Amino acid sequence: MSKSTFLWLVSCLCLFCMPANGQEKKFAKKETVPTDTIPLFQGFAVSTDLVGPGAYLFGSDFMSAEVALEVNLKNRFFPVVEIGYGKTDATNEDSELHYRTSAPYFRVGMDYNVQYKKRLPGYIFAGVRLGYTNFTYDVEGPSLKDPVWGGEAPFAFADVSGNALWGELLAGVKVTVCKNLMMGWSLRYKMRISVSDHPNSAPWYIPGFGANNNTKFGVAYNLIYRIPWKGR
Amino acid sequence: MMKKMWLLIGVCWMAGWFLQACEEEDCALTTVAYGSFMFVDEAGKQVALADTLSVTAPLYTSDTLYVYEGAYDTLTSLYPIDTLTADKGYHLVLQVTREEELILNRKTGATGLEVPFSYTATTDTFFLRYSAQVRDTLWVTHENLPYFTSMDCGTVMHYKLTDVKSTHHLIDSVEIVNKDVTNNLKTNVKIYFSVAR
Repeated sequence: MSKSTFLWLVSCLCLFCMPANGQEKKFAKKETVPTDTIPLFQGFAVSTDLVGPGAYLFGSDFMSAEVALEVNLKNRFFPVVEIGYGKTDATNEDSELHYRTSAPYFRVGMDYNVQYKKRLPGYIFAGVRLGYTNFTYDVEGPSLKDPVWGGEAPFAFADVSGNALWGELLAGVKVTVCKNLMMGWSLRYKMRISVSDHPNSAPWYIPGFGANNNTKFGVAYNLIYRIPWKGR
Repeated sequence: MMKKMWLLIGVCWMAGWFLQACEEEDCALTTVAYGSFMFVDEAGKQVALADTLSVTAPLYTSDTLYVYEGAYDTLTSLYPIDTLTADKGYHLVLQVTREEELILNRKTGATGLEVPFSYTATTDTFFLRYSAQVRDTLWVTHENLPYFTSMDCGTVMHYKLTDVKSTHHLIDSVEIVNKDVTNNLKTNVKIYFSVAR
């Protein structure tokens, strides 16, 4: 609920920040760009995701903050490196279990501008990512009561180490808001490749990936700043 | 073009909201991990016992009664006698567990067993009674592994089997085929019977 509320709010934010109608008409001409003449290097851009911190502010158990650096090659390929920090410190009121972790994570990948032949105020893109994180976590809860034999076993494990590798497929849109400022949505399909297991636990939250499921979907809302570069 | 982009943004948002709402966790149906035993013949093929089978286990929380007989009298105690008393010539004549957990009651055609293990003890004892006169005892030694599944699904006790022994009235031998006891109910131990029962 809180996450969807946040998504609604940022979509409203996007609504107010979009170019005015007149500006839209100015860009609406489907001008084809001769791609052979575009130089290879088209500049850098840095971006950050607002969904992670925003969802946390609105009550999510998970918090992630990340920045990304991407390179524009021929306005078509965008190799990207994403570095972030994810954390959770959650208690389940029903089970009285407490889980705590915080760690950095990394992703590398590339976006592909599917509209690279057209000169537009934004573009639709598809992309891939490979993510990795190395983390430790604490998990503790009530003792396990033996329903058959009697007695109980304590349950508390600290500094359990883990790591995870995952892949992501993403698709989205980026739109120019101001001169060098862009905003964009992307939908991410995340696939777990490997997650280290422990005899006493499976990680519940994986920084950068989210809840530990085989696959999951994520949404990112990015603010992107194109670093001014005279060659563009 | 901008209208299309707006449409895409809307679709992305709706899809993200919908798909996240669909990500519900599937918890295991049972939170108790049972050790799974399969009855097999000498060739390793699964067999059904012709006899009725009852399985009980002595509870660790129950009292054990020790009866010692001496030259002139008999001692009854809830605890084993000390060395000094034993030196006076008393010897154990009866050790009775006063309470047992009934796990299986007179089942006919049993092809296997599913038994719970203790959360705290590392060796569990099971009595397999085929008839009034014949009984085998099974000792299962295991490590106890409290396991965190997730915040919603909670915790469960898993085990790692380290040894299984038995008496040999009808049982020929026992073999651990899967030492990890989790709630996936894979066969952990094969019990080989010396004769097809």
